[in-house]
Amino acid sequence: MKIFLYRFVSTLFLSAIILETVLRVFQLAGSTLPEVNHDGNRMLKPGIEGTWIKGGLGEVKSHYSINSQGWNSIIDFDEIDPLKTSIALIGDSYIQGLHVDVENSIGRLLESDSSDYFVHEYGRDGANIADFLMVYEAWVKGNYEYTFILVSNRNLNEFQPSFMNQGLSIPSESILRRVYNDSYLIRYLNINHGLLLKINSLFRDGPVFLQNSDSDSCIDLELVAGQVTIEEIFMGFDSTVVFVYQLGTVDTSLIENHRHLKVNHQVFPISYGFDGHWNLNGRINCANSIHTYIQSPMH
Amino acid sequence: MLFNSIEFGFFLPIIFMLYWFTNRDLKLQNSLLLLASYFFYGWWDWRFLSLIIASTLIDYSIGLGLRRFKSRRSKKMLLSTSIIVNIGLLGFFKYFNFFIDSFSGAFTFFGQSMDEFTLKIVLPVGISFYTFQTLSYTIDVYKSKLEPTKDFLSFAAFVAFFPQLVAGPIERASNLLPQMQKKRRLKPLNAAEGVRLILWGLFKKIVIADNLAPAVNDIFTNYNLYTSEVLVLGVVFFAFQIYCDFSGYSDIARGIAKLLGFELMVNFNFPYFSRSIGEFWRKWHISLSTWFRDYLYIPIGGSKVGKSKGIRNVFIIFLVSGFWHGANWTFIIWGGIHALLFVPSYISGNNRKYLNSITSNRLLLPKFGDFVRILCVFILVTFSWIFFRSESVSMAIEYIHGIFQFSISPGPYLNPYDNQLLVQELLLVSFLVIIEYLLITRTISLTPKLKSIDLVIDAVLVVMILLKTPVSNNLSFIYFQF
Repeated sequence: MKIFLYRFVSTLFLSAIILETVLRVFQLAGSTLPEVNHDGNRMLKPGIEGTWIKGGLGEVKSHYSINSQGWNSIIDFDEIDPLKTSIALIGDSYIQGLHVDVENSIGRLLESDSSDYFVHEYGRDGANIADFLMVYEAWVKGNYEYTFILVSNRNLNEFQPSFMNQGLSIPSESILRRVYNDSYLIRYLNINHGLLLKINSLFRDGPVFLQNSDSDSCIDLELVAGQVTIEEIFMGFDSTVVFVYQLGTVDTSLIENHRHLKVNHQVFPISYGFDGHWNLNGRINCANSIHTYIQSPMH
Repeated sequence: MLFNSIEFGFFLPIIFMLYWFTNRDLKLQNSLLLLASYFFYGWWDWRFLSLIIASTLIDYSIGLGLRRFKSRRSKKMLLSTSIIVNIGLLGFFKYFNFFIDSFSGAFTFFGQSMDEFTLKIVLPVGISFYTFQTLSYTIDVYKSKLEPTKDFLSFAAFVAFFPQLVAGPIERASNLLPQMQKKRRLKPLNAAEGVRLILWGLFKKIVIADNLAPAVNDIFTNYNLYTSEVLVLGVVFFAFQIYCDFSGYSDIARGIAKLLGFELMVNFNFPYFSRSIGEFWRKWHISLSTWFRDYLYIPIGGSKVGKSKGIRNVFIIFLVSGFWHGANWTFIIWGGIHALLFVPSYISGNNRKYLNSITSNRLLLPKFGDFVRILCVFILVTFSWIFFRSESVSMAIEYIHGIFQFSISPGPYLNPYDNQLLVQELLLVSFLVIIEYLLITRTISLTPKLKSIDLVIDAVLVVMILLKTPVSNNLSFIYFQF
């Protein structure tokens, strides 16, 4: 047993050294985008740009650029062109679009559909319906001709904002955080492969036999957080707001009383299963669906 | 619980430590093994544990009954009970809807609808594997090839042994049960070999199969949009995907068993280097093909009943083997194709040819003739995989039709995967072929010798696995569905 344990630990140690070296030399580890407290909101640090990495051997590598307002976009959102059709897109990581180059975000693709459009994308990973409402009230309401909010069940299950009004919750730079940032191996395992998320879900969800099999993907409409129900949150949006969704990812009964639009996937939305997010094709489909909606006289 | 999941990463070290901690008491150790195995299976769905427990209880009792009763008639009745229960469970969970669907067409013709009889049945993971394992026990006891065991704990641990419970190798009681009943020791060389097998299995599963899976899924889902060369690429990739997926699982199972002091049978022996279909089936899923040989082919007469009945027997064994894989006509046709490919060598008496290794002549490269035969067998086997992978017979036919269109112009949109990924995948497949060839020629060996270089080899395997793990890898093993 001693020989085995010695060899096992040695193998792990040697693997860690080789992996750390390879990751450093080839710059394969992802990194956490720095955050700042911007008007009380937890925003990405304005002005930074670089390469966003996920997966093994740089499986997903894309260019990001954080604008002056803290959103991933090559344009600033400080002014609106009154001569063009103004469109606001609100959403989570799908709208934030780190999985493709920022130059090919849904907004830019939409602008390529018609030179008459200009689009601002208010997307933040992990955002939920509470964030969407606060974003809508802070920057969007009354400023744009069209507002589209991309929703899925994941967004509609949480009512506590994840980044709006959360500016004070940004952790200070601790020694542990510095070690984390300096270790390519730990960052690789955690950011590229979501190790912590997987471990968390293991302890949160527990064994399958402890779960109630009937509760899969159900949304409890009575779920209350701070006495707010999902219907009350929906009432905060104007009737002109269009909820965009992908078939199979949302309980459509929640949005059937509001304007809604299904993303029409005409080209493969996911290439090579790079996590659950859309690749460029998915964004093209989304942009085309919105374009078709705007052009349609029916709405 | 999957071998390549995070939960198994916690499960195995804990069980490993507890297992060897309880090494002084065999009963305690086997109890731990049994509980661990039930926990492993119950993680997926605890309700189906009842099937394993029922199967265990019934076959254990029947085994004892076969010893107690002396009359041939009583013994036959007991064996029939075991067969009916095990095949009945398998038939209900796996094939009920298939038969309903298959016969519904005929009933609809007579104005009757059978849709109401179709049930929402969940297929219990690994049911095809453990029912065959317990069946082999009762058949062997019936044939007096094996003494029935009185040790219920060992028997239950044998049926539920977690390393091979859900996807084999399908172990024989004569091999595994005696190992359950004697004290195990952790030998350094065996443990090092176990770790190497686990890493090699994970390499095949994660680095090769999981990286080929998206391309295969994409091409088989959208086969009507792709050109001939992409369709060929899709099925070739699938040939390597299924091999690496399944043989990878078997290697991991054998490796874990070694860590626990057990020896499981080799399930794959470089099948894509076969020179005939007969040789392929002696090297592919060996535990299943030998099971069918011993418990179906030989009892119905095998090859000793004349040529025409022998041919019938060949078709029976291949069709049943296909049907074992799944309740779909595609698997039956897949089995039928292999029967058709096997029959010529059976008629000419060449089916037992090529029992030696391709490099038994100690040449670094195979002879030209052998090389051509290997290539031909690979092409034929790969062709049959189209049916195995397709969701329906009509899809398989359309896929084949697409290949023979010989179209090379781009489809309605550009090829969605970029060339860099394609090159990576081709390199991975080439790497596998070279390594396997070197293993056959014994230029290299998977067996470690407890030297420092072995630590480096293991570390490099760990690094490659971690570097090539896809973001959302397809965790499940293909053979879990069977």
